[in-house]
Amino acid sequence: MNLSILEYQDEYFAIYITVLISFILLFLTFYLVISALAYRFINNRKMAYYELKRKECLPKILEFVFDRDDLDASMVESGVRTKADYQPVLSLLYELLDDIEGDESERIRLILGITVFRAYHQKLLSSRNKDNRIAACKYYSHIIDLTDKEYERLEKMLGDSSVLVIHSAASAIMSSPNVIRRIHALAAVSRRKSISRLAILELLNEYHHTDKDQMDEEAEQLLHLIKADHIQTDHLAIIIKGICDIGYVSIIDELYLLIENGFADDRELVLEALIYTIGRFQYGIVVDQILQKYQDDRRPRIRRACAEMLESLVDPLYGPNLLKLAMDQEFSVRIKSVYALAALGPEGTEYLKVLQKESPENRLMIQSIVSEVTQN
Amino acid sequence: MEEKKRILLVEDNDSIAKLVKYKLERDGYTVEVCVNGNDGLESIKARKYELIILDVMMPGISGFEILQNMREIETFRDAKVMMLTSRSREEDLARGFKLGVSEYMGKPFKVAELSMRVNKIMAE
Repeated sequence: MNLSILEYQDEYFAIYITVLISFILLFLTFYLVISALAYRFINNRKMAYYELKRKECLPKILEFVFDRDDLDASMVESGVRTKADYQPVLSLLYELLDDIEGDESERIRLILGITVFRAYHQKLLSSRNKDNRIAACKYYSHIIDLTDKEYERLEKMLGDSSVLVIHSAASAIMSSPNVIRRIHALAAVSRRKSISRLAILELLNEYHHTDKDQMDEEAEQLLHLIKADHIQTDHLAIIIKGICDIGYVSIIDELYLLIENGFADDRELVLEALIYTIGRFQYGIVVDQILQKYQDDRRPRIRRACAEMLESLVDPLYGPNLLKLAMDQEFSVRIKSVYALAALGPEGTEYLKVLQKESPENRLMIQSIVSEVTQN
Repeated sequence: MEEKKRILLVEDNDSIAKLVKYKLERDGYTVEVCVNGNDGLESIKARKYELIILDVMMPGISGFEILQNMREIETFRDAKVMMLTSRSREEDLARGFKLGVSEYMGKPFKVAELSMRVNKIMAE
């Protein structure tokens, strides 16, 4: 009897548990479906509002961009009332900036600089979220008339833990008319290991202001940076090579002094960059001294830099040096030297004939380089 | 009253399309916009335009495919076409000129320059 009551209770309990679990599952399913529908509804509304805001603001933006007289950028401000309006309008402005330049692009930058956007991005600079800080720095890189206070805020970002934030902040600071400010930003980035060489090169190009007469000051500050001991070696090499493209001729003497004083003797990459840069400037007076010191250097990279320097000079006077380098044990040095000899024209051809006799194994390589250079 | 000259702009970036349309309409043209290649091709077949401005990079049919399709049809063999392309894609230039493109504009472009080039093509 007792046993049957127990069995009955067990069965009742099992039914009770099954029903309870079914109810919980049903409730969870219902909750998930309702949440998904609510999320979709809210998201659709957000997207619809996003598109609506873009459509609403575009005519105002176009009016300001093209009807230039008596219009103020703040006219767009009336369409940006709440925080929810910022992203659609900002995305629209960035989208336009991507594809156009010139006067119209300047007008769009003026809209970007309206008070509400400035205040919003100022807050974003101190956000805990790294992406927000990057977005804020990138915003400032589009603004034409940054104030001193805004530059100071950006300078604080140079001490950020994220290299992406540092790079974005430095890029924004490069619009500053103040050379010292720009060089500090460049230095802050060059100190970081994980920054790419391309990023350094881009920043260096931004550092140079083509429309201002600041060449000498820029060059002088750059020289201080090169001499500073906290810059990463590969970044330093990139900066030195970048000097060629910008054309800071006034510091070439100083660069040569660096070579002479052994500044880069234990840093192969830097020495290579210095030799390359001097060659690109066609600075003939010091070339003999460089060749004397480094043409037979034990490091192939340095011997190749000598050949590269002579390739830039295109001077038949250095034919014998190139002939010697063209017989180097290192293939990359030989290739560079043959290119340099081929660039000398008929005078180089005589050396190449000698080279073919001396090292017939290189005949094919020589012929292909000569035909490539001749075609060019 | 003289009828305004018609331009078709095929550009998938809606905001850029509106900006160009705004400028060209102020220059005195009638501008129709298509935001994808398929619609662009349909419009070209349906109406006559004095100039067709094509963006090269578009989802679906690219600007080049539209151009190639157009050139295969006798009526559109001589239609004037301007292409908008990214500056870094120099290979597009050669391909476009082979297909008889009248003008190229590299992105990012100056709107004033685009307007000037359109005026030049229209005056020819």
